[in-house]
Amino acid sequence: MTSKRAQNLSFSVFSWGVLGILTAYISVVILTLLLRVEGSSYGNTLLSGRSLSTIRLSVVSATIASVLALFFAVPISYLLARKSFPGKNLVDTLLDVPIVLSPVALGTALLVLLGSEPGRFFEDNIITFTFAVPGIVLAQFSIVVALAIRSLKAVFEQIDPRYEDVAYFLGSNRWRTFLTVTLPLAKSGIVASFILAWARAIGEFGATITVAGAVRGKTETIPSAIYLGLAEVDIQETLVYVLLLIFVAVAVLLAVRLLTARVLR
Amino acid sequence: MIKTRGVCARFDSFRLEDIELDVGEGEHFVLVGPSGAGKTLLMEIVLGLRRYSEGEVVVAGRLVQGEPIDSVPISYVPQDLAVFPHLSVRDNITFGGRARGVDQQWASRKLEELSALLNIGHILDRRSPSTLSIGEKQRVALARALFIEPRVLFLDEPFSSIDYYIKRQLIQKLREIKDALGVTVFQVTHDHQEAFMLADRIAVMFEGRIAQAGSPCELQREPGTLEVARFLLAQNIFEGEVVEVDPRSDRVKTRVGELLFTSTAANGLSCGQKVSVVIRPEEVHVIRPDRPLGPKVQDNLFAAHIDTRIPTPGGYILVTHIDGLGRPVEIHLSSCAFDDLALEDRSTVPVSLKAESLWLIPR
Repeated sequence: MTSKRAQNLSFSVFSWGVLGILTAYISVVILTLLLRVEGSSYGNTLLSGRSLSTIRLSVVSATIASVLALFFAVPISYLLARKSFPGKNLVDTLLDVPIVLSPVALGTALLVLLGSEPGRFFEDNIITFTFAVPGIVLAQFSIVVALAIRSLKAVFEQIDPRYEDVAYFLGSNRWRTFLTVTLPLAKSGIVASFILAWARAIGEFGATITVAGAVRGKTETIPSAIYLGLAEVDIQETLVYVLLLIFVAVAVLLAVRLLTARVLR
Repeated sequence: MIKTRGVCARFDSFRLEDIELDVGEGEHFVLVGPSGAGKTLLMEIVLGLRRYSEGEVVVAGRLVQGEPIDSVPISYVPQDLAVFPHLSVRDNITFGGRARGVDQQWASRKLEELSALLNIGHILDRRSPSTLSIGEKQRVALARALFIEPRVLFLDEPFSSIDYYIKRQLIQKLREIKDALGVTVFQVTHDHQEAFMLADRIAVMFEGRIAQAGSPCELQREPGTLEVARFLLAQNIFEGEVVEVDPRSDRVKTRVGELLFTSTAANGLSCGQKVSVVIRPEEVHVIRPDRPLGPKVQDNLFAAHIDTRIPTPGGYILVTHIDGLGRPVEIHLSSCAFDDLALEDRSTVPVSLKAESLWLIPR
């Protein structure tokens, strides 16, 4: 009995110990950053015209990319959650590729596509992506749409299809059922998914820099500003940007946690 | 109104086989069977929510195959009720009206009528159904289903998970509603008592097959198979052999252990045939020593020795044995009958296993 109690105690010590080490590790990383940044750097960096345009570009592009991603992800994830069709596994796997693929590889693939004959025609006559702002949105969208599909599929799977069946028999067509029953029930999950996609988009670097480059004042997002700051050894400005992304990450994770709890309830 | 012919379907390793059903207009039809018998699957096929591989399902003259029909209003109350959590109680009930674009005045009148019928006036203004009790939710789901004045109402285990008192009230209410509105009801339940209380016709289902269909009276008097008899809680099942068939009086004598049982309705049985002899515990008649024997209790008279008395709500189950039978006989007796007869534990009582209540099922 004593030996069992000792083993139980050692298990608790082990699991709490591991939790403590990892929490301390992440806290130390953030704390070191905070201590390293001089007080005046916040104002100097965040209030400078260049920074403001960098932050504005990041926020706007991430918002457009996330809205676009949701426009595709909502119907697609609903279909994947509800319907079976031939080749579903293949489609599902294909849609997951951007999640697993290295962003720089995805960016390269996009560059190759844009460099092809139809791609060049599209760029010349409709929208220019390469080394331009739309390229940032395209890169961010390509990365976050898969993430949005994944998270929304789980949301729709949680909603009992019986609600839709009942609504259908009561006289509601599929569109009306989707808009008045399914979407309101998925509301918190959709908002959580949007926030998650937005946070991922604002922190996206590999695909963005490959497609749109990092041209100061033109295609400079927060992550590319960090990259450029490191290259130019402007440590203070770089660290302020890093802390800004950390702040966004913490805020987003807290918001998503609260919203997900509402969905589950 | 609902007709299925030779319907077969496969879902993973489970099969529905050769389902033949007929539900008439205005009929209350109950599909009853143990959990896992395939009742909900069959209901979903009839609703058009699932596809089948063989046969034919026709609802209101329209063929149904994996797509719900729109030609007649149909309402569906699933087992979990699916009361919309994001809508108020009032909006839940009137959902069908909005979807069908009905006149506002008509909708208000209908809401009033249903809230009076189902006693839900006091909860109409609740902003969320999450605060409703399960019994209230059942009534809201029923009101929502009835709001569109359906020709057919599908109910999947509508009274499961509610306490007995509310269940009895709702059963009574459902009978009133059905009579008042003349709606055809297709109901699924695992509770045979509920089925008997509500149904005009019952189909008993086991492992994907319909074992028997008929009126409650037919099922009670003549269960077609031993499985049906067991499901309908006939505890008294004995193995025997037919020894005499009198075609003129339609009476049959069957040897069970060392005893001879007389029963009516020969049903094509012949001498030497092995049968199961079944009698419901309620049909075992305890003879009052001080009274003359009535015409129905003159056969199969035996002395039953009380071994155990199990209390039930309102009465007792007496587990008895009859010498020469070899198996215990259960008798259901109300408390007042038990007191009136001044019975005691371990006493012996004269009983009649009523001839017309004995079922003979060929083995």
